[in-house]
Amino acid sequence: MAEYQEVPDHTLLHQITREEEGALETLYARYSTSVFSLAMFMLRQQPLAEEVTQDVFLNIWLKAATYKADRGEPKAWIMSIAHHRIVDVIRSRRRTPPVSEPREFDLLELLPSAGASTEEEVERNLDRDRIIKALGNLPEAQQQVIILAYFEGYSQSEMAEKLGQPLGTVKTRVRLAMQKLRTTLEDYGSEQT
Amino acid sequence: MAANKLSNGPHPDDLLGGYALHALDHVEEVQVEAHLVECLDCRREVYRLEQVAGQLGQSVAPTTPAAYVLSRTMQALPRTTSRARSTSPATSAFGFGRRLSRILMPMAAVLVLFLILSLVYNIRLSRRVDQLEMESVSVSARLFNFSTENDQLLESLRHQKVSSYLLANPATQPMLLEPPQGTSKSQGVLLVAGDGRQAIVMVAGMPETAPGGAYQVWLLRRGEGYRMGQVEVDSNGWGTINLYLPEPLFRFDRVELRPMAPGGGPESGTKVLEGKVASMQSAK
Repeated sequence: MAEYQEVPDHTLLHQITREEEGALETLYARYSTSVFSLAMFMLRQQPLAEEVTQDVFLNIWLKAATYKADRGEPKAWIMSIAHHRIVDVIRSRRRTPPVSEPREFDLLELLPSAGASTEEEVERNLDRDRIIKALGNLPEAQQQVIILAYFEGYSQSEMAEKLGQPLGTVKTRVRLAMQKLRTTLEDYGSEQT
Repeated sequence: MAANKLSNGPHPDDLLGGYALHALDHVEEVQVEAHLVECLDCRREVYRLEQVAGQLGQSVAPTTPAAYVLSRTMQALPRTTSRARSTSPATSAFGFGRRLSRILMPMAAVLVLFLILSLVYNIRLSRRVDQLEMESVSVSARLFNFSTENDQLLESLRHQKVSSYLLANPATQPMLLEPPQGTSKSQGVLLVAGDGRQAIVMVAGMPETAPGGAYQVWLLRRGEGYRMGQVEVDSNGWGTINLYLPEPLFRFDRVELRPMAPGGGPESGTKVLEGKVASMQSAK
């Protein structure tokens, strides 16, 4: 697998289309933590999170040919596949009677864990820190819909019902929040470069 | 939603954020995907929003999966064995499978493309059907209106024919209908055929009735009244009615017009016009 270590993500995806398992193992090494962390955070069950992680990388194996460079960073594409799969699991569980009341998330839960040891971990924590700040800078109502949609897997119509707000209001909040997050995170990216 | 330069539908601007967050209902998701197939601008916008959503996913505290997840994943890869031993003669069957898959994959891609195009076509077709259904309802309503107006015109024409016949017939006799006290501007004329069984009542200057109201035509004989029909008047107080009588008019004493309450209730009792049958030549 060492031969793949320096290979950029989009090249790895191309190699996966040629069924090079080493390329998939390298992508797994790079992003399995992000995928598994998100699955654990949203699903709260290790076996389910493991199953989802496995599904996500199987999906990447099968769908690598559909990735196009104009989509942007492969990392975002991989996280999108992961999030979609997690949301599917959440919604299928929501259709069955809940065993217990679902818990609410809080931005504090996203805070970086202390004690980063490697350079990679430090960098990851800095990234997370700016994302959490960008989320924290949103107006409370917009922050709420992003957390409900992204981290709890609610659809816009379910959010409208849960919040007792018109569907149009929820859609507007989602749209504004995504625009603001994009501006904030892109500004940060351009500052970094 | 902004107008779309490339496709027939508008840009689903308010759905793209929700799409990137996987927060749309299934129907909306299908609609957006159908739009993305043909709209480069929206596709680019979705890619940008997916970058944002992807970053949100990386904001959670990192947890590393157990090592066996990787091994399970690698074991579960389709045709893993054939790839690992692709040069081994023992795996010729898998080699055949791979060759077969190389044939089938383009076919599958074509099939997927066909399905996507079919979906887009179906959505467009469905919208067109909806439009045609709405137009059909509108045309039906107009046809119904035309039909009603046509019936009214035919009825009016029939009235005109009867009136003309009675006016032209020398045996026809007129009876003036006048207000009881003579103070009202209302007036009318009753033309009756020679046999007394067919008549036409024409009135002018009648007070306007409430919506749905009209004037009832009564024939009276020795204190008993017989309601024969009702005259609807226009905003100028004009109105007309053909009467087909069960017995000759000359056997009655008087003709009266009385206002009718809206909805066809009993008359208010106040006559507006009256005429005496005895004043007619035949009655004499």
